[in-house]
Amino acid sequence: MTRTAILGVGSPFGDDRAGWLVIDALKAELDERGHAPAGLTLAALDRPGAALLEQLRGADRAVLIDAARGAGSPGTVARLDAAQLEANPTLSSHGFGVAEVLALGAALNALPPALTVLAIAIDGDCRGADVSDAVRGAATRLARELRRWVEGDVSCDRTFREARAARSGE
Amino acid sequence: MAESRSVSLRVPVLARVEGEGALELDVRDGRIAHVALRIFEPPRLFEKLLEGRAFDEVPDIVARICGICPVAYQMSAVHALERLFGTPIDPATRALRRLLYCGEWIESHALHIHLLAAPDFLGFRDAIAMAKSHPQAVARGLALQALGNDILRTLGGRSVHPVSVRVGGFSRAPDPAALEMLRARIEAALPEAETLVAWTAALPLPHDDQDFCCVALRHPDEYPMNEGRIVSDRGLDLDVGSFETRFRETQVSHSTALHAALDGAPYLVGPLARLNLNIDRLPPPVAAAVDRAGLRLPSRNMFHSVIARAVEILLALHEARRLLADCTAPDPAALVTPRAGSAAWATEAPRGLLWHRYETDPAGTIASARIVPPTSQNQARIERDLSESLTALGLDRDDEALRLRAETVIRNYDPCISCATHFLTLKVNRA
Repeated sequence: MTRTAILGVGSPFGDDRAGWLVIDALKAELDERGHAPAGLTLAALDRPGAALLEQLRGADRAVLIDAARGAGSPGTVARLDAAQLEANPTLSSHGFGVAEVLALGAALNALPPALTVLAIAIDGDCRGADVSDAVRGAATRLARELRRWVEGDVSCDRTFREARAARSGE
Repeated sequence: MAESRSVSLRVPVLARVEGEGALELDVRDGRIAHVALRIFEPPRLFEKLLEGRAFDEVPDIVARICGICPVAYQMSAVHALERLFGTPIDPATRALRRLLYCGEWIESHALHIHLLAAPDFLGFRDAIAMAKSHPQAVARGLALQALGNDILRTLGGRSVHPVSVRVGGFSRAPDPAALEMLRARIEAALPEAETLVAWTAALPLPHDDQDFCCVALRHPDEYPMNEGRIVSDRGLDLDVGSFETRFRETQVSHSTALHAALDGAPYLVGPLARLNLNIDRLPPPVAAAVDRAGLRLPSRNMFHSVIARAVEILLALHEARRLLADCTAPDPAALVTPRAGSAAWATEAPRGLLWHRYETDPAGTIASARIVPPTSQNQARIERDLSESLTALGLDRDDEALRLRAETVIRNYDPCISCATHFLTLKVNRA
């Protein structure tokens, strides 16, 4: 059985909820269909810091979804590779960010064999609790793609190309 | 020395979510003319925020002061309010609160030792670089941190800002099956923590004995966490309610954070102060590990703080094992009958003494609150330490060496601000 972890990282503030919204929507999609694929873990994580590595432990493949500034117009979904995630631990303290944790995980050889990071672009204004329509829409669409991926096991690459195409096609 | 170098070292304002810190150092004629640690402490805002709130909102509000040590804030708050209202606490609740605190010490100390402090002593820029050369040590640290977090999650509902703590007890008893799983993991972690004590003792720590006053809680028969009298190694022995008679907070011009002083002088709170004052409260297996590590207590070397943290992880695991072995279901939270009055309490946060005082009206609404966190108490001591450490290192050292030692000194206190890792950028002006 392939163990799959899909983790949404975020905080309760505005569009920074993007990762959580994907997890919520994905859970709803799976609930609606009455079953969840075996070996699937879904989690919405509130700024997990180094504990993120614990969440990734044991997974054969993992998808990490986080909000990102500077990743395009709000709602754009981008797949990031390690080089694009610039770890900058010199600027961080107690709060290790996702990039730093993944760099730490790589140094420890503790990352899943297949790991994909998806960034949902936000405009950076995360005050209040409201989520923008663009980000909410992107989260819903991405959840649908991810549901197809966990059910049908189409290639990760293709899924996320579709996710981006769906957005740009609007 | 043929010529005396003048150094003006400025570490500018550092803006991060956990707080802001800055360092100023001026050297003239071979002496330190000025040293200042500037910290902007967010907790001050909470005291006003609490005014007008119902007493039962306090645990959830104060937990938000810190993401690393929310339990400490909850514990000082609920004990102060229970003292004020005369609320009785059953032994099982007392034990579970101590277990919860053990979890927080484990996660906070494991984080600081491995991700924040050790790179300084081993010569790495950060924990990521260190992990490549010391993967086992870093993995051990992360596993211990995860265990601490899981103790918080099991008892508190979640690992950050737990939600089960309330005035009078717990809102929900922990799941016995989850406690059973914790028991097995704690057992397995004990040898890891023993190894950790030896590992920290073998770190190439600077030798720099200093004269400082240690302050911590002391309990008649256990290592202090949730209760005790405030004692020092200079003869202080005080009820927590009398804190304000001897400890004063004052404003200083270079910082918006208050400086604390005991009888007018700087003092130390935190793991090393706690350990120095409570050596005889260590369970025998922990005392034996201290002996094996060759740590002589009381220690005057501030850099032994990293060993003290490892010792306290081992202690917390032993305590957690003992508490789980005797664990019974707690009573439902006691019925609280609020009244007007004021009361204070102190507990031992991972970083040291955390003192709270609350004043309430007859309905239990908060009329005033005062919170004195450990980092603010250590501020004056850190400045004194910077002065002594840099002088001992040699003020003729180059700027990079001075900056690195200064940062190492600051981080050694595990201050709850962003200066806890290598965030300091340096601007040097030579006269």
